[in-house]
Amino acid sequence: MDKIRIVPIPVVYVLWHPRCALGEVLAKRILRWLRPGNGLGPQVFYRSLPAPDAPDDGLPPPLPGESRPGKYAESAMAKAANLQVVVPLIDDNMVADPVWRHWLVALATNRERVSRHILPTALDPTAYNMPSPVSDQNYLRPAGLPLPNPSAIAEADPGFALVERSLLKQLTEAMCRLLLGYSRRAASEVAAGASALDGEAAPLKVKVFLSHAKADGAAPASRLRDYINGKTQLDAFYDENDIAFGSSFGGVIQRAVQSSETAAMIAVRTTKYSSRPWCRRELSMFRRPICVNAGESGTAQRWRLYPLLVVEAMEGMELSAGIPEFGNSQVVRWTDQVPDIDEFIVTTVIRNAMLASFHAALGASLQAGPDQIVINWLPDAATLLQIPAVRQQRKVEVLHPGRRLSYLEATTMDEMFPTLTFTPFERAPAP
Amino acid sequence: MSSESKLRSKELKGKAIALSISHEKDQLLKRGMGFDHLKEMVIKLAQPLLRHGANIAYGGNWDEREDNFTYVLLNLISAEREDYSGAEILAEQADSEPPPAIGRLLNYAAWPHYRTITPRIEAKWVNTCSIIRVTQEDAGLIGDEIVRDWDAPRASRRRNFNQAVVLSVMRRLILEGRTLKLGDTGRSERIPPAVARVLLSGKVESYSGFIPGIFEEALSALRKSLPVYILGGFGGAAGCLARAVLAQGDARPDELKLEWHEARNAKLREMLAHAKNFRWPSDIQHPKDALDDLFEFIRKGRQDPSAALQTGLDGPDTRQLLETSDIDSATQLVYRGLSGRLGLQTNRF
Repeated sequence: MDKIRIVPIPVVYVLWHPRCALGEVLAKRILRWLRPGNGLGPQVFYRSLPAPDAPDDGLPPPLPGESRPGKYAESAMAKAANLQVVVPLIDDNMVADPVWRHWLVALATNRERVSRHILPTALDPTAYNMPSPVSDQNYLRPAGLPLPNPSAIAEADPGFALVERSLLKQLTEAMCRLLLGYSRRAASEVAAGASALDGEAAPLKVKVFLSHAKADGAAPASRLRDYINGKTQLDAFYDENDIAFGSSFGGVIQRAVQSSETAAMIAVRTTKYSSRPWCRRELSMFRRPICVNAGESGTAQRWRLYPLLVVEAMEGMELSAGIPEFGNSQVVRWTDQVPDIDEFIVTTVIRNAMLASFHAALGASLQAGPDQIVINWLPDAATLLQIPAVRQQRKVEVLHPGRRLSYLEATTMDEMFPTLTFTPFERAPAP
Repeated sequence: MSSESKLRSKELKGKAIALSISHEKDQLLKRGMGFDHLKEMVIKLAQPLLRHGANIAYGGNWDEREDNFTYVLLNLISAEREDYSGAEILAEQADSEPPPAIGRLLNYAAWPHYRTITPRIEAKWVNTCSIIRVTQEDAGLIGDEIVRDWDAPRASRRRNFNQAVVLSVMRRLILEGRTLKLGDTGRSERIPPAVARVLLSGKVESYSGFIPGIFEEALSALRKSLPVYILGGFGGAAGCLARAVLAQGDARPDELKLEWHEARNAKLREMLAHAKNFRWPSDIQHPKDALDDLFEFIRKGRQDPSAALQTGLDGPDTRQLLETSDIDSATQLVYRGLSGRLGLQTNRF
C-alpha cells in the first residue's frame, strides 16, 4: 500500500461482462459524466472484451498492479494516479462466469501493490451472489432495473434514462465521499499511521452548504435541503436547521463555510439575494481560495477553491444587481416544470466537488516553483484577486486544470492581469 | 505576458497533415478504451495543428453516426473558428494584428460516397471544410467502365471494383494535392498536399478497397518518403503495421499476405476473381503487389524504423510511438517528431 502519497488521484476502471447488454452504454455515460470536457476529470478506462492476446473466453487486460500469470504486459497506470476506483457493473452473466467471479475476488483481495477501491454495482438481483469480499460491500443499486428489453435499449428511452441518472447519482456521491473523505482523513488519521487511501475505511460524509435569502421565501432551498438529507448520503447545511437557538449566527456560518466537511455550495439566487448581507458574507467567505501549503518555501503556492453552483430562481420581470463573487461558476435555472431538477442540481454540484478535489490533488503532484501558483479551478478575475501574489502584480505563471483557455478568455485575462501567464496542467511538468 | 492558450502561429499555414482514423470498436475495447478515448486523442492531435494554421486532410464519409470522425473534426474546427472570430474582434478593437487563421478540414470524398453529400451539408460546413470529390474519371476509369451514379447504390462487380480503384487513388491524391477549377470563372482553388501522415486504428478485415485503407495510406506515404506516424497501441490496421515494423528479421506477418485477406474477406475474394475481366488503370496496383511492396518497405525499415518512417524521433521514441496506448505520450511524440521533420520554430504544441 502506497503510504507516501496521501492525496487521492483516482483513475476509474469500469468493468462489464462482454454479454452484458447495458454495460457499454453505461460505461460510456460514466466516462462522459466524470470527464465533462476540456480535459477536466479523472481518466476512465474500460475492461470488458478479452485482451488482444487472450483466448476468446479470457479476461480483459489486467489492471495496473495486478499480477496475472502468462504473457500479459502490465498496464501502465494513468500518469500521477494513485488510487484505482473499480466499478464492476455486475449482472447475471458476470456472476455466472467463473473466470470473472475469480477475477473480481482477486481484485478485491489483492491490493498490496496498489490502492484500489471497489464500487460494485448491481444491474441484476443475482449481483449479490458474488463471492465475498465483493458481496460484503454496499453495492450501488441503480433504480429502474431490470429494463424490459436491455438488448434493444435506445439511449433516449425514459426507462434507460432513469437507470443512467440513478447510477451516476450514486457513483458521484460515492466518488465524492471517497475523494473528499480521504483528503480530510489525510490530515488527521494519516498522521497517526493510517493511509489516506485505505480502501477498507469508510469515507467520511461531505456537506453541501445551501446559501439562500430567506426574505424571498424558503423554496427552492428547502426542497434542495430535503433532497440532500432524504435521498443522498450527503449532509446539507441549512441555516434554519443547523444554527442552534441562542448560538451566534455569524460564528456558526463562518465555521460551516470554512469547515473541511463543506465540499460545495449551492447559492439560490433570488431577487433579494444580492442585497442580503449574510448571503453576501457567506458567499464571499466560501469563494475565498485557501492556500494549502502556506509556510512552505521554495515551491509554488497551491490554492484550493470549493465549487459553487448558482441556482437562478428569480421570478419574471424582477431586477437584481450582479454578484461579482459568482465569477465563472456554473449557473442552472430553477424550474418546477422539471420534476427531478433537485436531483440534477445536487448531483452536478457534488460531481463538481469531486472534480475540484481531483484537480487539487493533481495540482499538488505537479512540479512547480516559487514563480508559479497552482489552482484547482478554471481561473476567473473574482477569485484570482483573492491571491496576494496576483494583487501584488508579481510575475507568476498560473497552472490551472483542463486544457487551454479559449483565445477570448486568455485575451481578457491578459488584459486584466498583464503579469500573469496561464498554463493548463497538461502542459505543466509531470511529477 | 502571453498565455499558453493564445499560442498561435502561421508556421503550418497552407500545409496539410493527413489523418487516418476510424473507430474499430472491438479492437479498442480489447485495449480498455472506447470511442471517447479516440475522440479525445483526435482533438488533442488536431487542435494544435489547426492553431498553427495547418489543414487536416481526412478521407471520411458523411454518415450521420456518433462515431464518425468527420463530424468530430468539423465540430472542433467550428469551435476553433468561433473562438478565432472573437479574437479578430478584439484585435480590431485594439487596432492590432489579428491572430493567425485556423486551418480547415480537407475532406477527400471518394466515389460513390460523395453522392450522399447534399448542398445543405456542403453549405452548412462551407467555412470549415473543403470537399474534394475524387471521381471515377480522376481514378483513370474511362468510357463504359464508368458506373452511372444512378447505378451506384446497386452492388455489382463493376461497382465494387471501381469503388476500390477510386479509394486507392484518393489515398494517393491526399499526398499530391489538387487544383479545383471553379467552373468557367478562370479561377481555381489549390488544395495543398499532405506533408505527413498520422495513422491510427483502421479496419483489417471487411474493408471495401483492395487492401486495408491504413496499409494503402502507409504505402503511399512511404513511397514519397513522407513522415508516417503509426500509432499502433490502439490496435486495428495501424496496430498490425506497428507490430510488423517492430518484428525481427525477415518474418512476414500474415496480415501482409494476400492469402490471409482472401481467406477472411469474401467481398475481396469475389472482387479479385472477377477483376481479371476489367482493365486496371495504369497506376493501380494489384493487392498482391501492393502488399509485397509494403512488406518490402517494412522489412528494409526494421533495422532503423525512425529513418524508414521519417518520424524525426530517435529509435526508442519511435518504438514508443509504435507501441504506446497512452494518449498523451502518443500525441506528444507525434508533435515532437513533426516539429523536427517540418523544421518548426514552435515546438510548444
